[in-house]
Amino acid sequence: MKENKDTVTNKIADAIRRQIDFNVLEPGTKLIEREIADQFNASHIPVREAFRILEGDGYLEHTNFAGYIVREYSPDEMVELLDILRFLINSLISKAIPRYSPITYYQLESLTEELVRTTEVDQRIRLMMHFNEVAYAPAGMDYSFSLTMQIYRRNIRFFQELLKETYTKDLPVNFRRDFIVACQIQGHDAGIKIWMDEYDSLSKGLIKVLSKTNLPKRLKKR
Amino acid sequence: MKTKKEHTTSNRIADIIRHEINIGVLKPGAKIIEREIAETYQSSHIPVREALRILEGEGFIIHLKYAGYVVREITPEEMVELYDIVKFLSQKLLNAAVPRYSEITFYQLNEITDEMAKVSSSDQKAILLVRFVETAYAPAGMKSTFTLAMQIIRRNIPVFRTLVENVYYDEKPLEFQRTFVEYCQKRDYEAAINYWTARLDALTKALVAVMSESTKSRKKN
Repeated sequence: MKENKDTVTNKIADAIRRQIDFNVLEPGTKLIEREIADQFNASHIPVREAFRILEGDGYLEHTNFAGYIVREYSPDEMVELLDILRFLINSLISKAIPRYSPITYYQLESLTEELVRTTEVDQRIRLMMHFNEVAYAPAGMDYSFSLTMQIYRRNIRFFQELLKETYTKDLPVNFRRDFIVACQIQGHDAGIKIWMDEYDSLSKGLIKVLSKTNLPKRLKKR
Repeated sequence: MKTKKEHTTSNRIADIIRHEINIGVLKPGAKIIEREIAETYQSSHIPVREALRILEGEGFIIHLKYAGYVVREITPEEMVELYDIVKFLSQKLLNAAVPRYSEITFYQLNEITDEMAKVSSSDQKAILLVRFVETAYAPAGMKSTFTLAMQIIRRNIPVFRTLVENVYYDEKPLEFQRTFVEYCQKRDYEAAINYWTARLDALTKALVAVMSESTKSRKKN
């Protein structure tokens, strides 16, 4: 479902996006055109284009003095995003569940089992995101799907914080098992309800994490 | 903001391809070959590639894994999906923005409407319509909602073009913008937002009908 583009610009944009998603490049970091061009053995043209794409996607912002920097989300903006995410997720999951096939259930079940065996935080987040992708994909709503994934990926560091703090070992597994059973036995509405309830409690947790002191200072300021 | 246009080779090439897509010389699904374009315009591949990126960003073409760049077709289903998201975002933004409009906002909104009355090309009208929407949303001060809404809108310029061309001007020209601004100036915020939403609803329905019609007729051919 992800569009695969092979141009240099896209390669550079994807690489930077990934580094921001996984917090290798922290918010506020300045991006230097020449350095990135050297790194990719490219001219400054695709680099500049990649910056422009990432600016359009809200990953970078252009400041007068520092040039392009990684955009910071303030807690207020996060609350806004959670609200938008709720809307997107609700439409995706409502349309997707009635279209689940035996293969979908098989994939969901094996991802859950893999989650049981995994302890490492990054790996767990990746599995959970994969689970969500499998759960949303049958909706066939490409646009909402990619937008949702963009928001998810963009905020992965908050999910990490949340996992360390509140999301204990069994919780995500139990939720996923309940969800699969509900969809199969109790019907679509029950599945939707479990999914949305989980989302709501997750976002409450996220907002709590946001208001705590252990976040980078920069994020709390605005 | 970003609508400022530089007269570079890449912009010139993008303009020509955009025009060819608009008038139907290049039909949905048609392949766009970088080398051929470079030869036609006697330019190097760098500005061509940049032109294709511009058009991709505006939603005119998409990049497919094996076929390369092709002219994008927005299906009626996709349109409905887009509409649902935009409606949700636009209500949030307008609720926050409308009460904050200043004299400057009104001036800007009216200026854009006046300019729209003057320009003749559908592309220019579409871009002005996008600018109107942007100016109407911006005072909300909701940075991430605004960025997301504008990202969706800017990447679907062809939708605005179809709107301007087939739907918008069956109505009384520019009535939508003028009426919205009037309500806002009277400080009847609720009426302004309801009006915006109702128009958005009606326009989208008409747009989906136009799109379904053109998809059908293309399949026939």
